[in-house]
Amino acid sequence: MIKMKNIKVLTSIAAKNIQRNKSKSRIIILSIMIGTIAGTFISALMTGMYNQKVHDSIYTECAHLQIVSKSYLSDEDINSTFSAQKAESVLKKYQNPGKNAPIQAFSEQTIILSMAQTARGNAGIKLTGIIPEEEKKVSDLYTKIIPGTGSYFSSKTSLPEVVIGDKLAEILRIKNYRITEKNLAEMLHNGLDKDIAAKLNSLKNIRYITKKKLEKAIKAVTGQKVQGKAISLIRKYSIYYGHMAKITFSFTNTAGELSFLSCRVGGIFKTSNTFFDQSEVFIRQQDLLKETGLTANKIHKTKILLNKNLKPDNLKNIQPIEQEIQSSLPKLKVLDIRNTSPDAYSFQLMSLPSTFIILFIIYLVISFGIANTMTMAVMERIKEFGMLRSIGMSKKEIRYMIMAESLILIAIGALIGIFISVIIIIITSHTGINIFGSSSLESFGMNSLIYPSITPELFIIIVIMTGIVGIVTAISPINKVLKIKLTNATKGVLS
Amino acid sequence: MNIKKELSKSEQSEKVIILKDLYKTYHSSEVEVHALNGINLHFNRGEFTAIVGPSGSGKTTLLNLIGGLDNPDKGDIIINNQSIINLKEKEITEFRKRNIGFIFQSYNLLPVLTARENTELVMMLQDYTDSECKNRAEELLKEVGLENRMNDRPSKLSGGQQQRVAVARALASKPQFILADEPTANLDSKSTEGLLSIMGKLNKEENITFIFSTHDQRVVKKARRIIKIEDGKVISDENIDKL
Repeated sequence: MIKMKNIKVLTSIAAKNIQRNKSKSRIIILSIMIGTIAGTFISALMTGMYNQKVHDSIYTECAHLQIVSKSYLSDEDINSTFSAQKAESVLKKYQNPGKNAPIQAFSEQTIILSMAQTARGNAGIKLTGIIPEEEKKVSDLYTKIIPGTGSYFSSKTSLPEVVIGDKLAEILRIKNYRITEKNLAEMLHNGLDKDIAAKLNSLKNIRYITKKKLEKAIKAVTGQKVQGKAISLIRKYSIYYGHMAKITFSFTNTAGELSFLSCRVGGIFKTSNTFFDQSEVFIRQQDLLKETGLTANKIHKTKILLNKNLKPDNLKNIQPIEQEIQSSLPKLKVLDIRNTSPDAYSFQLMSLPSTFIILFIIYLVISFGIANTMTMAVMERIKEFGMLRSIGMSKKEIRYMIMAESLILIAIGALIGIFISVIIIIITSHTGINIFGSSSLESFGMNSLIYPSITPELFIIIVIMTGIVGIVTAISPINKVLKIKLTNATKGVLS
Repeated sequence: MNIKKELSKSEQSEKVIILKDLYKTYHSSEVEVHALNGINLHFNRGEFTAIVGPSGSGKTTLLNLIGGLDNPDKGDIIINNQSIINLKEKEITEFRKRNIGFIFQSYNLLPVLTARENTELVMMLQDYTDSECKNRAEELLKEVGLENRMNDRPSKLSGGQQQRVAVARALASKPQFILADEPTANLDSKSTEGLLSIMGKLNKEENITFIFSTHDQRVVKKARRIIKIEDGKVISDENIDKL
C-alpha cells in the first residue's frame, strides 16, 4: 500500500506534469471532452426518443393499464367481451377519494376488427367504440387532430362520425394533393421560388392521389426534378383532406353475420406512430353498438390511466395496483405496458444498456489515441522515472503517478464534456431536434422531433467509464516505463 | 550543519562495501561486452574515491552494481555485512532509498519541481514530516550555496547549480554512500571546483562515503583514493592518505 502522504506527493507531481506538456495534455483533454459530448448527446437523444415513445404509447395509445377478457387475449373476437359493470365497481374503489386515488380515469371500449372502404381504397382496421368524454380523460388523441380536417367528435352529420388517422386517410385516398390559389400563395409566402410557382399555375385544382403523382406532374411542368426546400414546401402546403369523407366499414356482428356501417370522417389525427394512424379508427360507442348486436354493458377493453403521484410511467411503481386490480377481477386479465406496447417497453429496457454500449464504443476508440499520447508523453520523461526509481520510488508509486496523471487529464476532459453536453441538452430539450427527417422515425412509431433527455444513470456510467479509460490508458505507458532497465532509464535509453 | 560525526579510527576503517569477484557481461544482438571481469574491492566508511578509466572500461557498470541498479552475473556485493544481490525488488528499492544517494551526469532533476521540492522529494517518500523535509532541504541547499535559488525550477538554474541541487537531493535522506556517475562531465571549471569543494566538505563533516566514476582530472586530484579500471579489471588502487 502506498502511504497517504506519498499519494499526496505523487498526485501533486502528476498534476504538475500535466501542465508541463501542454499540447499533449490538451489533446487528451480535448479527445475525452469530444467523446463525452458525443456520447452524452447521442445517449440523451436515444433516451429522449425512448421516453417519448413510452410517453406517447401511454398517454395517446394504451394508457397505463388495460383490462380485457382472457379470451380476448388469444382471439380478438367480437364476442370476447366482459361485463363493464363488474369492472367499473372495482375500478371506482381505486378512483375515490379524489386526488390521491391511484386511478385517475378509465375509459371503456368496444372494439371490432373491420374493413374500411372508400371509393378509392380499403384497409383492415380496428374500429373502437368509445365515449369521447371518457376517452379524453385517458388519451390525448383529441389534441392531435390535424387543423382543418375537422374535430374530435363535435361535427354535425347525419351519419355516424369517425375519427381516423392520417396514414389511413392516405390509404383510403381521403388525403390527396391539390395545388390551389390559396396554398400556392402560402408556398410563395414561405419562400417558394417565383419561377417554380409560376409553372405550378398549370397544375391548379387537379387532384393527385399520391405524393409521387404530384411530384411527377411537377417534374413535367418545370422540366426538372424539384428538390430541397421547394419540394418540401409544395408537399406540405398541397395536402388536401376530403371534407367529411364517407367510409363504409364491414365487419361480422355478434351473430356471425356480415354487417355494414357507413360513417363520415369527422376529424383526422396524426400521432408519432404511423402504424397507429393507419390501423385505429374511433367511433362513438352508441353508434357502433347499433350494428354489432352488442350492448353497452358488454365491452372489450377498459383503459386505465393512473395518478401521476404514483410515478406510473415506471413499471415498478404500477405493479402493486395492477396486482390488486387483478386479484379483484380474477376472471379478467389486467395488462400493462409489457403487453399493451411491447415495443415501448423494450425501448424502456434498452435505454440504459444502449447508453452503456454507445459510450463504451466511443471511449474504446478514444482510449487507443489517449494511450498512445500518454505513452509518448511518459517516454519523453524516462530519465526522470529512472532517477525516481534509483532514489527509492517503488514500482507501485511509479504506477500510481502515471495513473494519476492519466486520471486527472481524463477527469478534466470528462467534466468539461459533461458541462458542455448538459448545456446543449438543456437548450435542445426545449426546442427539440429533428435529426432523422420528418417521417423516417414515425414509421417506427416514434416522434420525429426528439427532445434529448438525461438521467442520473448516464452520469454514473460516464464516471465509471472515464475511470476505466483513465486506468486502461495508463497501463501501456506504465508497462513500457517499468520494462526499461533501470540503468538505461537513468540515461534516457529506451531499452 | 550540526550533523558532524566524530568517528573512531576503527569505525573509519570499517569495510562498508565489499565486492567479491564481480562479473558482468552485456549481450547485444551481435557482440558480447564483458563489462566487469572479476572485480574484487572494498570501500571503507568515509572514503572519497574516484574510479577512473577509459570509456567502456566498466566504471558505470561498477557503480550501478554497487547502487543495486543492476545485478552481477557472478560474484557478490556485501554492503553493511549484507549481500544485496539476492534482495527482492521491493527490498533493494527500500535499501537504495535509505542508504544510497545518486548523482547523475545529467542531473536528472524533475523540471516541474523547484530546487527545494527536488531536494525534499526523496525525504517525502520516507518517514520525514513536512517540516523536517522543508528544514533539511533548506539546510542542504544553503550548504551547497543555493539559498537564494530555492524556489527556482531547474530550467532557471545553470548546469553547476542544477548539479548542486542534485547533490543536495542525494544527501537529503542522510545516506551512507553517495554514488556519482561522471558528476562533472557537463560542468565548466568553476562549477566543477565549487561542486568538488562542497562534496569534499560534506565527506569530511558528515563522514559520507563518496564513490565517483570520472574522466575528469580535476576530480581525480581531489580524490583520496583512485581506482583505475580497464577492460573490467582493476589495474591499480591508490590510497593517497596511505601514500
